[in-house]
Amino acid sequence: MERMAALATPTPQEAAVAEALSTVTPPKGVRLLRFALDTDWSGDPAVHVVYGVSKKIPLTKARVRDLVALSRAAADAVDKMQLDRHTYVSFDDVR
Amino acid sequence: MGLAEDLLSQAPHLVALDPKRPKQASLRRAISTSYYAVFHLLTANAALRFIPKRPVGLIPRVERAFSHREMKQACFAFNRRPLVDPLRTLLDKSLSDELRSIAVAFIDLQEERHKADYDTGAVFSRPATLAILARADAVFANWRAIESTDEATVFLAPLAFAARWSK
Repeated sequence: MERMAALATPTPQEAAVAEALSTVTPPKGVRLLRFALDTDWSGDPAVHVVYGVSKKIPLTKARVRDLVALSRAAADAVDKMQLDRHTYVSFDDVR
Repeated sequence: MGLAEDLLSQAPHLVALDPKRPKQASLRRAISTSYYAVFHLLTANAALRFIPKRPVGLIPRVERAFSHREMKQACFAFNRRPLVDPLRTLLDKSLSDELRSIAVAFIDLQEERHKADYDTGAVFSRPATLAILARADAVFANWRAIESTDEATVFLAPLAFAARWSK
């Protein structure tokens, strides 16, 4: 990821993404780790959003549904900012 | 069961291998498999809809001509609000939530598949992998809901004809 939002003065697009993601409430044991404005595998403009998922919460079907719902909610929130970038949401393990 | 359905049902078995500590290779193969399930679902349906069944061997040959990147570009167009021509003209009402969801999931799954197959620095977790597989499952469910509609046919056309579609 070419630019970490937390480590640099945010650009207007980064500020917009941060604002959009602040409107999304993750489920218990999930928190926003980072996002980056970069490109996808084929070079198209993208926003990559990464949430951390606590390993302490049992992995159930409902848990998986919550993660899918979160990924959609986060992508929808960013898409509303009309940045002309596709939003990709992924999950990392956290303690 | 066709290839697409077989791949979809195989993916969770790969995630379930090594229950205590899944191997990264298993999770990567599961992600890639779920993407290819969706890829073959769409290419098979496009070929069946636009290509005659005879001569034998023509449909598989056509299926090999699909381009991952061009399919992704086509899906971008279905996620635009508002739609632009020629989609706006062909779809005289707004796109269904099911079809938009299929288009977005295809884009997302392709990105994950690329990471799983080529990014050796990436680390995948079981929850993240299961969430990806759930999205592939949802594509199949959404496809079943709309496959007989005109909008489904309109969706398959640019997947097949790619950049030539907008001429």
